[in-house]
Amino acid sequence: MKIARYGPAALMVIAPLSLALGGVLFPYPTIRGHDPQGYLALAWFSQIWLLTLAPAVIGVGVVAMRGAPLLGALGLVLTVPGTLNADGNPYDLVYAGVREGVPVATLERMMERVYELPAYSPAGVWLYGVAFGAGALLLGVALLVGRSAPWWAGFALVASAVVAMLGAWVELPDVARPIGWTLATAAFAGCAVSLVRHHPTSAARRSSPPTVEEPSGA
Amino acid sequence: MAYSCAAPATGRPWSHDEYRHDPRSGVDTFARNFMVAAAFAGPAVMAVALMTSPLPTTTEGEAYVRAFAANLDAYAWSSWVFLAAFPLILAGLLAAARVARQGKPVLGLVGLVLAFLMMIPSASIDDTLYSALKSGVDVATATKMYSTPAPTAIVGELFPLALIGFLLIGVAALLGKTAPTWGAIALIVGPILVPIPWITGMSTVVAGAAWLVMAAGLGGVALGLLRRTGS
Repeated sequence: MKIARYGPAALMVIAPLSLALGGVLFPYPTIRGHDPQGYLALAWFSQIWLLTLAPAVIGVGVVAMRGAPLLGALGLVLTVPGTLNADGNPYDLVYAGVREGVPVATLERMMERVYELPAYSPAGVWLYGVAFGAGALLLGVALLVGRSAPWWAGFALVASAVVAMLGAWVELPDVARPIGWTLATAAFAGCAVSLVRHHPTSAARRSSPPTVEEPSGA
Repeated sequence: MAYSCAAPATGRPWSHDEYRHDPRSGVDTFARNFMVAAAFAGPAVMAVALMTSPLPTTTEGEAYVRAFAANLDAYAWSSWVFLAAFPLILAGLLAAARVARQGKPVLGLVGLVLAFLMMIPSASIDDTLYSALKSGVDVATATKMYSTPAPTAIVGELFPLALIGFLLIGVAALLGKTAPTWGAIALIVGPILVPIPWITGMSTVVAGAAWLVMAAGLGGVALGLLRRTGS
């Protein structure tokens, strides 16, 4: 099945690329001066990565585990929950509140309250945000050590993970986010190539005439 | 030189086929056991969360918002439990789908793609309710915000498709005979039972019981991952 071979590889490029583009194309949403139409454009665009990031990360993990099973598995376990941050876009509530005429001061209080919830609390940030960065770092190291993808893919993943983890500690300029995801796009693309090359169907094709002997001396 | 399964030498160190990943290495065995455990535990955690929640999750509209407002502090706990359940269900889904695809590759893949829709992060309308009610927004306005959230919330409405995906995985496992029959049947029955309490307004205990059937189904099919035959 071609889709089983190329589908995951395509998702592995689309997910980080959409995150890199999203950081460039759309300004970060705000409460004061909230632009409903601008926010909707971002919210719809974000569906691309919301749909594709988890399978893309799992694809990278599969490649990483081929060369370094333990490191790859650890990286995958740490990274995947971050892709499932079940609370989606918190600014959806600002959108709904503005539509219903909720005052800005109340909206600001609402955002403070939402950050009390598990997914946004310090524990949630550690579980989903920091673990995501640490997991990506381990996956990058696993790619470098296990050599199951081009060296530059592992290097780019380590670099993007460092950007992500720095971002969890200090406030980085807005440009750091697209840069980090551009690095991740390169890393994921390298893994996608490796995934396609070593898909079971390609192995089967390579070995399809298994008993044919080439002329001696060949 | 005879053709073999090994890739031709290309000089690129990353192009080798003979990975160090032994299909039955310690890591692999651990991962398989972990995924099977997650397949049972994920839906079971969901079941317990539903059964113990003071929120009338299976009701809708203003009645739900009023009950939510009366139990605001209980939401943080159930929010945690649901967050914990999701990664476990994902691991279980991948395990069950792998077993299903061994026997029926196309059906299993279609089931996996559809079921994955359950894993999409979508804006939680309960988060909106919690923050609005905690910030002094009145019940009527909160009900409007909750009833018509951002247009992108339509993605969250794909949940029934995800249930069909789980059902297809059960069918694939049953037809392909790659999992215990009881597990496959439970994974066919579970997704049918899950929405019924929401449609009919039954209690959260019944909703939780449906998720226990899902636990038996997902875990039962995932057990096929521990078989020695196949990959």
